[in-house]
Amino acid sequence: MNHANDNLEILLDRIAKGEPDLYLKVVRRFELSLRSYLASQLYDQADVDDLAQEVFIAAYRDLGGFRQDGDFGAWLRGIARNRLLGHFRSIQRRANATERFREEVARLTAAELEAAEQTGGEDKIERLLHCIARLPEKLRRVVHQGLEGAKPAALAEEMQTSVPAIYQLHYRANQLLRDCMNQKITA
Amino acid sequence: MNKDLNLFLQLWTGGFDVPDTESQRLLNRLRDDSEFRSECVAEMKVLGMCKAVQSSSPRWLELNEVLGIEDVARYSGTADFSLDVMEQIVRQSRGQRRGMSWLGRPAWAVAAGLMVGLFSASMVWAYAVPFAKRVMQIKLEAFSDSFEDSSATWAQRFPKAANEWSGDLSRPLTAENGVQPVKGDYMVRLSPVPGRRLSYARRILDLAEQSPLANGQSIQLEVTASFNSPATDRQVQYQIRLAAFSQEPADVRPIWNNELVLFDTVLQHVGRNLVVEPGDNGWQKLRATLEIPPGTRSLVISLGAGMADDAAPRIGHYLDNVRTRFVVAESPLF
Repeated sequence: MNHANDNLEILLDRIAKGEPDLYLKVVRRFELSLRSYLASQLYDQADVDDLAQEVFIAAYRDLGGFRQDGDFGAWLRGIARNRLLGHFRSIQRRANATERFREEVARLTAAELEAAEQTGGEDKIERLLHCIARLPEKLRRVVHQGLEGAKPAALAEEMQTSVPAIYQLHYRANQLLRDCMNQKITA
Repeated sequence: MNKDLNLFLQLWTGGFDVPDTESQRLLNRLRDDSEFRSECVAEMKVLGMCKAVQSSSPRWLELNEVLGIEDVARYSGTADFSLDVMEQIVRQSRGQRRGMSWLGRPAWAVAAGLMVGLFSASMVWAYAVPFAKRVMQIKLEAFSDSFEDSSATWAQRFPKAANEWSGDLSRPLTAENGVQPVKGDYMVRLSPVPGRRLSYARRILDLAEQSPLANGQSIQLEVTASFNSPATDRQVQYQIRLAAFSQEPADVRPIWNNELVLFDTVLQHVGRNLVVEPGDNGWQKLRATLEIPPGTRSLVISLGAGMADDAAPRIGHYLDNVRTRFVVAESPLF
């Protein structure tokens, strides 16, 4: 077991012995990575946050089911995958074309998304933030705005360019972010 | 970026509609072309990470409840709203060390400073400073109700006072017509009323006397509720309506009941309707958000359910897990 898991093991042990408030430390440690994982498959930020909370609650109630030599993040993502399927099922009847497309994408990419989650190390979120700060101003602005819904159109108007060009800029920004994060891993 | 990846991202982020045949073609390619799938996953992953790190950390009240942690004092609606919010912000950010010493100041005027203090303390905000346009948010629970008090009864018609349900609610039920509560052990039925297509549960929040918001600050009411119906062969309609009034709670009822006066008087009003197709009789979660204008005294929460078709027979529908939150937003000061 690695060092990171050593501390987690102690925390989980103390939680099991009657210190439930320590679970918030576990939550803080895994919150951003879990929300990132869910945000890579869901549109609405409120749904991401609600589902993340459900996952943490389900995990807390089933802490005994976690093998202490296992990967806690992967265990959380396993719970998240089930919750995601439930979420997609619950909106199936009223889902619009985008939501149906997104559901099918989530199904087709589940294995590769999980594999991608297992790379990059525990500090990947912090590295991402550093890397975003190093982006050229124009690309940082596009990343900050995001691509959800009508945002690209609004930004395209603001920057006097086209919507496909905004997607292209975000794509370029994502490439730079990946390069920057990889450099930091190898540095 | 190749054309299909661009198209995929536009579809996936909801910014672009294409014919079903085109989206199906992309899904087929995603299924069959592993290189394309890897490209898509790489983009989805970075986009998800960017989205998560740029959103404020949620206050997970339900999780705190499960853990037995009283992290956020609940807004009772009896005290001054803005001061109550400030107290909660102070508690969250300073571990109750400052407490009441803030209360002598104009409440919203000091909110900015407190919010900066709160967010600067979090790793996300500390790293996210380069995003000059970022909006800081705090979510505070107003009230949650999954109708767990089995002895509760409620008045009919529109509420006369704040902080109590009123309308067409039954007593709390454990199960009925094959419908089980979505949260806890109980739910309520919104019973049919002759002459009305929808049945309602309503509640007023009293914001009492609040100080005006400072420049750049805003506050929203966010309400989520879960609905269910035993109807399987016809469309069912669920509804959330939120409205802000300058009048005190006791004076809202005559306004609400007179549509001509209502639309000339209401400060802000939103409605969200969901029509569920026949056969889908699971729980449906609906959410609505209202920007609370300055000068608001009373907030009306109206939750409705009924058959979408006027000619359909009237039956009861079910309501559970109502959650209301105030979302206080503040533009950054730097």
